[in-house]
Amino acid sequence: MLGKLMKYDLKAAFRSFAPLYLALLGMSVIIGLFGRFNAEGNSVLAFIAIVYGVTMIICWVIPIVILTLRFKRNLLGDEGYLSFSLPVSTLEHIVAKVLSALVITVVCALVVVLSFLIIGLISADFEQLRNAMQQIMSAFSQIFDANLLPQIFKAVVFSILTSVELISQIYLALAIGHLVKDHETLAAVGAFIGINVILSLVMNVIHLPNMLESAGLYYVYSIALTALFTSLTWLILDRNLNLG
Amino acid sequence: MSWTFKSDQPIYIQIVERIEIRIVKGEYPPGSKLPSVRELALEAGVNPNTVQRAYADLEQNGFVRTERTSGKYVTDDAEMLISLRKSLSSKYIEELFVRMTELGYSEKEVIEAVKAAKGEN
Amino acid sequence: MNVLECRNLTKNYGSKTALDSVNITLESGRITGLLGPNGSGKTTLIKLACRLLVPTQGDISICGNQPGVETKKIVSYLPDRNYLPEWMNCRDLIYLYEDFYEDFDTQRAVDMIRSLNIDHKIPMKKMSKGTKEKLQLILTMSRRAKLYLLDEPIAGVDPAARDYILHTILSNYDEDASILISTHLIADVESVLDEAIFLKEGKVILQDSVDSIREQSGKSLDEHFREVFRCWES
Repeated sequence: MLGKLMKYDLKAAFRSFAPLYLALLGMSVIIGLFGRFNAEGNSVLAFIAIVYGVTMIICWVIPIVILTLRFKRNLLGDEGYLSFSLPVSTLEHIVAKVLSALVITVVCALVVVLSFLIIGLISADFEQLRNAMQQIMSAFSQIFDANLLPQIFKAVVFSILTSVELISQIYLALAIGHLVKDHETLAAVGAFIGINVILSLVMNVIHLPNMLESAGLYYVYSIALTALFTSLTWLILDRNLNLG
Repeated sequence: MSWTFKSDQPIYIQIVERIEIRIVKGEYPPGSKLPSVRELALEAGVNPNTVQRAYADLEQNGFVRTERTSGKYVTDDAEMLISLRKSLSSKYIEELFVRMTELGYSEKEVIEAVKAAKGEN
Repeated sequence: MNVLECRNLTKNYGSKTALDSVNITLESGRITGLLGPNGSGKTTLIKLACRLLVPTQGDISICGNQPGVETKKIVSYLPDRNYLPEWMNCRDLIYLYEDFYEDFDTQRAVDMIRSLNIDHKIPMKKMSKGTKEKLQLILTMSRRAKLYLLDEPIAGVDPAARDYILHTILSNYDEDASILISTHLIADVESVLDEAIFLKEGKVILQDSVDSIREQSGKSLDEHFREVFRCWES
């Protein structure tokens, strides 16, 4: 059942994302061509830089917005009447939502990388491309020498885990908001801020060491928080669901 | 589409009467198969249990018999059918008398009024 | 076995009592009307049976189980609102029901959708209100469930749609299944009901067979209901 729930979550999410992805990849092609035929000029570079920036923001923000809306609509809105009458436990619903968020975050990260690759491949001419490939190859060997790859890997894993943690925190905030009739959204925003305040207080007490040196600790911390948020969301919705 | 029912009587009794009328009129001829409970329920727009109860009532009075596998049949006992016709007619006459009495007619006046009404036509 | 059983079932929202020590049993093979004015607790009772709410006190059980995953497999619920995802079309919805409900009879749903001439490809959001309601009912009644909970299935529909809805309900339920129909439009459902439950301010004030109510009161269920719930008395 978990798999089926995720199938529908992902289907719904990718339906919303598909235009964004296509636009993003389409933009990458245009930027790539732009870069190739108007190679020189700072204004062009500046333009590209701005588009990159916007792309990055879109790619990290939109999934969060869409996942938030999906959670609210699918579980706490009118669709909740369907969702919660399916022969599935509340826990499965919440876990499916968190795992779907994980999948979507990973896919978004891959799309960003893909868009960079497209820009790079198109904007470079053949000669440049070969040079670039060589550079990449040598960079790889350097990376392996310098153990940089594991560092990059750690950073990527960390950023994905933090995204999922953030999303599960949003889910918890929405569940808390659901308890407050007539002011759900306001209460959810308040709850989100409240959780952040509590977390920063806790962080002041326990000082975590440098991230890159003890990535494992950060993973555990992030996963533990995700599990905590998920369990609390489950407890709230399982006992206190009251669809309007 | 569905049948209309009077409000002051259980629906199954009204269904019994409809079926009785159909039997007397020959819409459901002697010995013929009656519609299934579900069919009649859908036609009447009522609950199948209500039709079931109406059939049970008809069966108890001997107007309908059940073949174990194939369903409900109208009786082919001619005497039964005659008595059904009689009982319906006396019921209607009774109703007529009750209503006319309410209007202050005596029995005699009722009979005269009926004759007069038929004579006019 | 009783399909639905409530014992001293109570639900409070904060300080407000929506259901107050309700005792109800529904036998299998019967169509029961859950009747009462708006705000009398009809929807609350149905939501408790679907585990969309958790009781404050008392018990509710369906075929011997407390509401949960097991009961959701055998309960087919029609909420009193548009609850289907707006972006889905008929085909998506059929796949969805097939995916989650083992008792879903796809062929039956397909046949009924075909007889309504709904285009398989248009999404819910482009359908008229009436079509959406019929589609929801078709999906609900295409399950071979043990208990159907229909919350206000005929509120705000025209007489032709009402006939369609009642006909769909009558022609699709199995004889050993039970149906609970909540409504405040008693005259419209009266002829399909076996039993009636009158709810008033969260309390059950009457549960009896419709025939015996008619016999005892000498009135239709609707007239009896109006008498019991006369506004100027309460």
